[in-house]
Amino acid sequence: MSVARASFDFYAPGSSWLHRRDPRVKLGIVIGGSALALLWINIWLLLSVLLLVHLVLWLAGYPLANLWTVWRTIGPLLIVVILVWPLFDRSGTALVTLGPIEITGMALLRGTVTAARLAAVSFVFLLWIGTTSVRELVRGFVRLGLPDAWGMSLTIGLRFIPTFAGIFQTVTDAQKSRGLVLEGNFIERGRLMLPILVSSLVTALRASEQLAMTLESRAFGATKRRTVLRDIQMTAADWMTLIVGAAVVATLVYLSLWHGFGQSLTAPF
Amino acid sequence: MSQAESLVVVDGVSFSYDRQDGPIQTALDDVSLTIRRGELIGLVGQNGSGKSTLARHLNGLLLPDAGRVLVGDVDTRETEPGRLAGTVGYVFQNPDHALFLPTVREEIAYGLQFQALDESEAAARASTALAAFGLTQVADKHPASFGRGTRRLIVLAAAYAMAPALLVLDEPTGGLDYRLTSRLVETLRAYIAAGNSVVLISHDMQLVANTCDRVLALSDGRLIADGPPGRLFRDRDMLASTGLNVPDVARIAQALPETLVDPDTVAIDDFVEQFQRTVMKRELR
Ligand SMILES: Nc1ncnc2c1ncn2[C@@H]1O[C@H](COP(=O)(O)OP(=O)(O)OP(=O)(O)O)[C@@H](O)[C@H]1O
Ligand SMILES: [Mg+2]
Repeated sequence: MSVARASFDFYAPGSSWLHRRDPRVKLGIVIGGSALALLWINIWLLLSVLLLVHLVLWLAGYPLANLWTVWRTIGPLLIVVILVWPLFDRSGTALVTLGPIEITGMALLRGTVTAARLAAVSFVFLLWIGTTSVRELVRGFVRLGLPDAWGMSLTIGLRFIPTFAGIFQTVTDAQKSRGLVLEGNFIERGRLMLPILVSSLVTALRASEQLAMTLESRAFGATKRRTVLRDIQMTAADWMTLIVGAAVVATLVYLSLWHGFGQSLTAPF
Repeated sequence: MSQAESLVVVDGVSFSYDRQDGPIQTALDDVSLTIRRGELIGLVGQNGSGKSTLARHLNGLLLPDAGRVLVGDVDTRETEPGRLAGTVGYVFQNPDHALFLPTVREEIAYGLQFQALDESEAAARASTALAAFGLTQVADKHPASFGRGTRRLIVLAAAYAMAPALLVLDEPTGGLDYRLTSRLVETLRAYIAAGNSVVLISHDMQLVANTCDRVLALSDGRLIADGPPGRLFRDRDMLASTGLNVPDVARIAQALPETLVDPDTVAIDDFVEQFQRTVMKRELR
């Protein structure tokens, strides 16, 4: 099994409590959760958020393999953040000195906190996009005021991401078959990738040209008001979640801004 | 056949795609075969039978889960597809996956830059390939400006220009009309005559019957037949069970008395020739 998956879809279908929440409520959770993660700098608090989110996703039956894929995807970025941070941050006393570079414990900690924050925000987003189908996702936006045509474009755009990833993989294979070997340094590789980008774009454009014709032939854009097959509806559980969630977030924001909650790097709250 | 003539050896290869949804899909199941110099091989099978997957193993784009693929004496695991491109050329099903340069000539010369050729030789090779596929007149036009048939000819010519000892063509006749198909077949025959080999993947059984001297049939990832087309197309039960159709010529040859036409006849030219020899001669007498 030597091929990388041609595409990866974050969404995992299911019928858990989280799956059944209205997409607008989940969007609210994302906004609240991200705000807190960005407000806090306490490493323990951020790690707790990560742990909690993982627990919720696990309870919602979200595949562990997908969680692992997300970690693998953001992992390199997190490592870069931790490693690069000390180059710009000289606060504290040096642990190691490498010529002009001083690495301080404080800088390493700050880098780690930033990485934890990035990871927390990523996984908070996963609560939403991991348990919401594209259709519901877009209906959520449309009910929040996004024009129908935009909603349709968004749906198609999101649907196209896996397709485009697939095209990119195939084109890479086609160019390798023509003798392309991706090697050398970063810049060299970038130059070698150019043919792949051009062919991918051409293939994608031809595909979207087809799509545009298909849509037109199915009378997309002919009427202003569209009928919707199955619309989303806020239930009592949705309202409860929204109200409780908003109260919790508001309290935590208040504590953080006025009472210094989560504002120390390491002190346990 | 001596060992020295073998070009590619597929030895007990099994392969499954890594799927996130559903059960693991076995795309190749213990496939073994040897491709020798000077062979024009047809590769047939239903949609999803594993033809493209096998083709992608021949130049190392896919690596076997079990077994091995040897190109010359190099294991595909020990090299990269790009480095095998001079030996095994592979033309994809969709020409758009390969095209990216502003002129047909540059497109055809592209692969040659990876081979250690001097400039005049590279130019000569490109011109030969352009001529072989009837593209000389349009050499300075933009590839994207052409219809699907011509775009396909361009990628075929680009692979041909690199003069690989084995040329693997995935559905090369899609979008080609009768005239262009015949021309392609002639070009391939000349290429074989020069000691190269071709693997032709196709759903067109009559085309395979007319052109190939050996046919490989895949069904659910297993190699269920490997031999001359006459033998394959006589085994009706096997064909029916794998959903492959019998070429018209084979059907007629099998229906006629053996004294008129050899029942193993599958190619149209072959049929006409025998028919002329037996029936027409009788008529003239
Ligand atoms: N990238 C992929 N990821 C997962 N499964 C795949 C992938 N490519 C092919 N398959 C599966 O592997 C099997 C063999 O596919 P393959 O493309 O080799 O068939 P094929 O004989 O070339 O078919 P066709 O005549 O339609 O081109 C099929 O069941 C197919 O669904
Ligand atoms: Mg195929």
